[in-house]
Amino acid sequence: MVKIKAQLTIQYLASFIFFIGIVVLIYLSYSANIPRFVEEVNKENTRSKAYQLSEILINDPGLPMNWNNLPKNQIKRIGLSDHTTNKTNLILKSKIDKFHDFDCYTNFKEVQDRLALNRSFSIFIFNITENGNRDLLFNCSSPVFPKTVINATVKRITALNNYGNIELAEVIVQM
Amino acid sequence: MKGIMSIIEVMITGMILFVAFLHFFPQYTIRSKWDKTLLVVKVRDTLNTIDRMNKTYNFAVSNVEFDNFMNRTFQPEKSGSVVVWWKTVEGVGSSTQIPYFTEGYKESIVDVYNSTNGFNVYSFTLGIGYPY
Repeated sequence: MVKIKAQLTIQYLASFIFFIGIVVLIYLSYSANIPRFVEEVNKENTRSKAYQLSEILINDPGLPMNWNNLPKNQIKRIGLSDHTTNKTNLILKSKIDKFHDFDCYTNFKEVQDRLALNRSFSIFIFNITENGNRDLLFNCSSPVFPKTVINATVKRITALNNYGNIELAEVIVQM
Repeated sequence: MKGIMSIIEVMITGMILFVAFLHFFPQYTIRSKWDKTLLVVKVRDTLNTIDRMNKTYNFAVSNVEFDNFMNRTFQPEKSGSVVVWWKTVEGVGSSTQIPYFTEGYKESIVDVYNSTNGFNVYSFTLGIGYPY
């Protein structure tokens, strides 16, 4: 009769299970951070897009620069900066008035195209009165705003050229 | 004894692996600098706006006018944020007391004004911070 030696001892089995356990523990602790990291990257992206939009609105005159005097179909890019002075933080009331021609609720895609953005956003422009109240001058919000945890708000203080009178205004961009 | 040795070997290997993994794949640390960036933007925007409104000299010489403007712009219930501010002026007017803050940023503008002695240069520094 031939005796066959056991190939799998109980000690080997215990060591193997212990080893696999450690590998699984390392994998879990490593992979648990990945969703949080991806979410944070998305947040950074949203914040930078919101800042980019605020910067376009405040410090870019748009294309063509005098788009406030042109028909809607000739406007390529929307920017509210006062092109006559070419200074930062000075926006034109006449451009805000022209911005009203774009109906954000019914044709939001038109505004998105002219701001080179393919995501939902809201723009609020307020006139800051002498007692600090915010009077709404303009509001453009996406008709469908996706309900996500990622929300970025950028508030910018700027001067407003209200047909010759320089006033105080606030531009708020939300994404 | 042979079996115990292999368990000890595996434990040592496991520990070495654990340390090696932590070394080569460190835990993600997420640090956002947006709070600081938005504060810098706020200071620059405010200083530029003051200049566009041609109020730099007025705010340099009058603490009351400066405080009224800053209160109007940054009152918490209307602006949605709580900040403290100060100004430092050289060449004309007077500075305000620097408040306690946790994180702050300041930016300066150099301007000239016309007086009976001719043109004089002064600097206006605006600081904004998160309160202590």
